[in-house]
Amino acid sequence: MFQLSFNHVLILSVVLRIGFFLFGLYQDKYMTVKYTDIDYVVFSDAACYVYNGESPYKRETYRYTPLLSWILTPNCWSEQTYSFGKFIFMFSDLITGYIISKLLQISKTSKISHSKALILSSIWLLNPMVITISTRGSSESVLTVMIMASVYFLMKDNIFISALWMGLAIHFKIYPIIYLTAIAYYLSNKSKPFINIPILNLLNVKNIQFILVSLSVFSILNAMMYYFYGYEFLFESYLYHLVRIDHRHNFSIYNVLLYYKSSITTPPSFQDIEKFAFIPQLFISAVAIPLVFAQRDIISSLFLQTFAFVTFNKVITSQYFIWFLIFLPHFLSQSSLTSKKFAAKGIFLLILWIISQGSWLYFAYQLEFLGISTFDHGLFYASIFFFLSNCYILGQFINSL
Amino acid sequence: MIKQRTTIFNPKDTNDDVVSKITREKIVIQTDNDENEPFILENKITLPSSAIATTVNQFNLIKQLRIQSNDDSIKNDTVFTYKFSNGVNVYVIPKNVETKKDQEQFFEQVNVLLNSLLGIDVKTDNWIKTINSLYYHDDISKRLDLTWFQDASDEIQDSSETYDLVFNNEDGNPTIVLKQLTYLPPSEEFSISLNEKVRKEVGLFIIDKHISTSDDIVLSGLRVIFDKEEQVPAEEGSKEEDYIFKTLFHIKPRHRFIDSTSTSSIVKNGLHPILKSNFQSFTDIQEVDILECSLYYYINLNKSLIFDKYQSIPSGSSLVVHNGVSNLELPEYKITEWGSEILFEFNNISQDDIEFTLHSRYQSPNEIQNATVVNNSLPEIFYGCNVKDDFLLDKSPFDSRLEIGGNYERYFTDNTVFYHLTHTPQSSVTIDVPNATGSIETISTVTLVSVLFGVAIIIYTLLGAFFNGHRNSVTFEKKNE
Repeated sequence: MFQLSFNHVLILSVVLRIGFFLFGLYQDKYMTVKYTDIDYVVFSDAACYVYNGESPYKRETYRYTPLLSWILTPNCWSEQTYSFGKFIFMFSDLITGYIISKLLQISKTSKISHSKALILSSIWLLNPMVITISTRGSSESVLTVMIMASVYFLMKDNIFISALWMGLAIHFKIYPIIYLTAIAYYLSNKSKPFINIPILNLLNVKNIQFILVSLSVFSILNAMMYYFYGYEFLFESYLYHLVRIDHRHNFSIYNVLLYYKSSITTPPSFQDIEKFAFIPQLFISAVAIPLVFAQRDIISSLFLQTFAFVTFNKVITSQYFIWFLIFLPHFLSQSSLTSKKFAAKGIFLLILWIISQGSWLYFAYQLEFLGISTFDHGLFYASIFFFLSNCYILGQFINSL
Repeated sequence: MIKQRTTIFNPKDTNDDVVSKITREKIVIQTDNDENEPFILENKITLPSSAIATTVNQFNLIKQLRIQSNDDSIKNDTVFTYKFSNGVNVYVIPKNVETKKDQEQFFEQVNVLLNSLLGIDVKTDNWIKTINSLYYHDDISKRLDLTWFQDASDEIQDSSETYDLVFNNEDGNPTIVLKQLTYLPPSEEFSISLNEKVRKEVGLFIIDKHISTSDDIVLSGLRVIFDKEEQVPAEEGSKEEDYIFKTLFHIKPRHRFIDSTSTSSIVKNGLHPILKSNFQSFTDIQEVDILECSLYYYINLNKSLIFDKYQSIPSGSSLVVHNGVSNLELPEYKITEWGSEILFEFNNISQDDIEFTLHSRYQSPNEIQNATVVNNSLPEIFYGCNVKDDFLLDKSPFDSRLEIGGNYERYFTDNTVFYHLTHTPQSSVTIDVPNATGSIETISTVTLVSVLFGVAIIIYTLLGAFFNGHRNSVTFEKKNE
């Protein structure tokens, strides 16, 4: 009897990606609404500046590490190589899927059945959302490879290599810095402490090595990029994200408030909620969740941290969902939500997430494509519904471990 | 002395019966009753520094300033050249501006000048930079304040909103040259009289259609001069003819019209409206002086509209000019410049439609209305052609090309002529941009309560998980004991 293997899933995932990619070429050529993501155009333009010996930041709205534009310089060689970046993203996407399946095999409760492992791997490998994001030209998968490689080597107890990947990931995008506290705490009982004094006994050679190597890689890369591109690099890649006021509609609960705030010069101080938005976000994602889960199950902790981080972020787009989706297969392998007893609850949570997101998308569509003002009575309440749904879902995820 | 040159263009074939009276001090013109082809009058007034109501030093940092206003009321005028964007266009070139303080003073001077001429307040950061000057545009034409013109104010058509004013202060002796264009109402008498303080030259012309082509217009008619010093002596038996100089001259116009119209409108597409222009392509420009032509599209874009130079260049064209706002993200209320100017060049001269996508900037919340109406000037669609004998272009007394201003004119070489398409009456670039309508107090309060509630849900479950985990590990340790 034919038995589905991981290789079958992998082949199917490759075929699907090629199919989506080819359809994208067709849509770009013949349809009014383009398949290729605007970000891909930005990366490619920035890569062309690099190719011509200029700064990638000459391209308005390029707010990434120069590394990305370096990687994509073949996009500028000719019309035929314009899709080079998409192949990189699709390949990274597959590597991420491969590491996810490997992690499922080596996780502490590796007793999950073969078929369950295949289904969980498919959450990434055969997920149309994941495939669409990489084939449209979003670079998130390059980042997910770095994070998953770091986690993989962490699980293999290769702290040095794990930290190298984590440093690179933090340089690529700053948010994985929230993982440092969790991993450091996770490693705190993996080796003898330096000193046997409460709190200080959490420090040992492994977590010190991890933190130092990660931050060194991060700092060296930043110093390099600063050397090449100066303050422009620092501002566009990192500082901009601190001062940005994203008034354009996105899923974040703070979005409509930020739109209002940006339009007035001196708001009353009690309305400065968004200035303190990072406090609950960082407390929950970088302190509270690691404290409870990092030593129990580091990958599930990373999942919950990322989910919380995205939920409380001042900007949320669909691409951000990829950030926690990489850990979802592992989390589900550990969660009671996939057991028969709690399956209905799991399905309910999934439907809640989809409906709350769908309600926001409905009003966003009315605003974006029909020009109807839905800010106050549509988008605002939909973003609150989505936020509270996410908080409730996160609570259920926590309970399910 | 103030000089006034008044040119009246009679669209008919003859000037017979047009001059109803002429003396050494007055000319009276009787327009006919054809509303479809009214007479057009251009009034050019040159004011020397002595006639300007200001002290010379007041504008010592302004080299040149040009205001071109167009209310789009005069269509297809083949003789006079006022083919610039509807609304008001202001260009200014500084001089001797070296320090930051000079810069501040320069903008202050410009503001004083514009305030007194147009009654508008243009702040330092409202300007955009163009090839050789600063540029300000507003889609609404403005009437001139005449108090500045002192003795000449009686001679100015104060109802005209189509004019071209040049303030020149290059050598420290400011002069103003004002040209106005207006229709003469049908079936009315129009007179110009001697004014001792103004030297007046009045011309009344028709186009000699038998020998004129669009590249060589022959104007024939008469001129009279009202000037105390040049006046023909009043002698007994003087006839009307004694005051009249019969005149015939050729002009090679820089701006020409072709027999084609364009309709520009907005295709609604939410926050991404499409600006579309349809027209009948005109590939067969047959004037003998033409060497080569390309199709061009020029528009002044309001700051509420984003033009994305990376994605929105119309197919088959290249972006030749993009000055002004280039930010792709900020809301309208965070942009200080008035907007941007854009010029596309098309490879294919037979193109018959042009469209490109714009993006609306977010507008300030407004409790009264749920959409902000954004009005934009119409685009100018034209064929730019190199011509032979280009030295004749600026010999025309009606040529408008200067070192400063003229919208797209400065981006072309001296030997370029422009063949314009006319806007149809249906043309309009008006966009409704949705805005928020609520109050920040409600939004802040609901957001704060929701965030606190969300945090409470998570902290509550985390505390539960922490104590459960702790209890489990204690039980586990006890079992192991």
